[in-house]
Amino acid sequence: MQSAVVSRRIAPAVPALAPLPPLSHREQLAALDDGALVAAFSSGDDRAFETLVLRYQARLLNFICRTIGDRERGEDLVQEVFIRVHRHAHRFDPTKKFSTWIYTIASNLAKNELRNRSRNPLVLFQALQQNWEDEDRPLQFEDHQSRPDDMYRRRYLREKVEDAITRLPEHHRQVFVLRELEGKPYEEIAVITGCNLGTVKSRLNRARAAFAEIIEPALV
Amino acid sequence: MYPFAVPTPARWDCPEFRDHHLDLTDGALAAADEAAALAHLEVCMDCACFDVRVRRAMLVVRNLPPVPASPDLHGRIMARLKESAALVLLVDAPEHAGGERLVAMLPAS
Repeated sequence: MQSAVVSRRIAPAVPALAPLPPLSHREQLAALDDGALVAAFSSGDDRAFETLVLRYQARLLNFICRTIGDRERGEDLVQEVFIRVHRHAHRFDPTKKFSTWIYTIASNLAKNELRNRSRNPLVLFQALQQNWEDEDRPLQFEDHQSRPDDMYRRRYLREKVEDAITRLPEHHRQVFVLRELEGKPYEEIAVITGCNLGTVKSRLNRARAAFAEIIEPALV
Repeated sequence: MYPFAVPTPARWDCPEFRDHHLDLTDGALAAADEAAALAHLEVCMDCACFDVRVRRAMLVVRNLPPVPASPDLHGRIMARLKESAALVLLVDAPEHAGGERLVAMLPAS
């Protein structure tokens, strides 16, 4: 009884919290997990799909570009991934991970791109030409607060690393990018690449050794 | 003299060490295997250099900055999605979809 009186006396001293403003639709969607977003999209909410695009576009661009070594084409393929997901969202199995599904689609498109490129020397030439043009562009992506020699060093190293990745054999490169750059667990990489766990680990082991050997001269 | 046998780590050769290197760097080796790997590193300069080389390379690659996207990438994705959705409607149900309106929505190619 006495404690109730005390708490009644104390209570007014605590300032009442102002009610939080209601979340916007966009914020509500951003708080949902991938599976819930797919479900919302399937029920007719187009904004849910846009939230998925925002969530995955940079990650997929990174994965595809590192795999095929061509940013411009990589952006086209990212668009293609989302078109396929949009068209086939009704086929998505909600008991599975959405990220595995979307990365599998991206992985297949990247593989097709590499296959087509190897068959078509003109496409390969255009990709190389694109890289030459990149060389002529001003420094765009460095930290401009750094000293010029630091910037040069960073850019040099970034290019060497990117080049070393593209020199890995295709089936090693995919596993390497998924693990070392995307941080995917081995089990998910196995699903995405359609290999068993042992193959994934053996390819990664070889890819890491090969990459380390290629990049070594740039690190000394 | 100890009254009991002190377990000595199994001896690994270079191929065995390199086959297990991924698990070693992931910290996924069983205690006995890890001891064998570390014991091998103590006696094999080649594998010790290999270990340092791979660890250093992984440190560099994991710090690679992300590929910068074009500023209009999101807009282009959304525009293509709209275009593709309109086409699907036209193909699937042209009589219900208000075909003329959808065609009018498409950007001129």
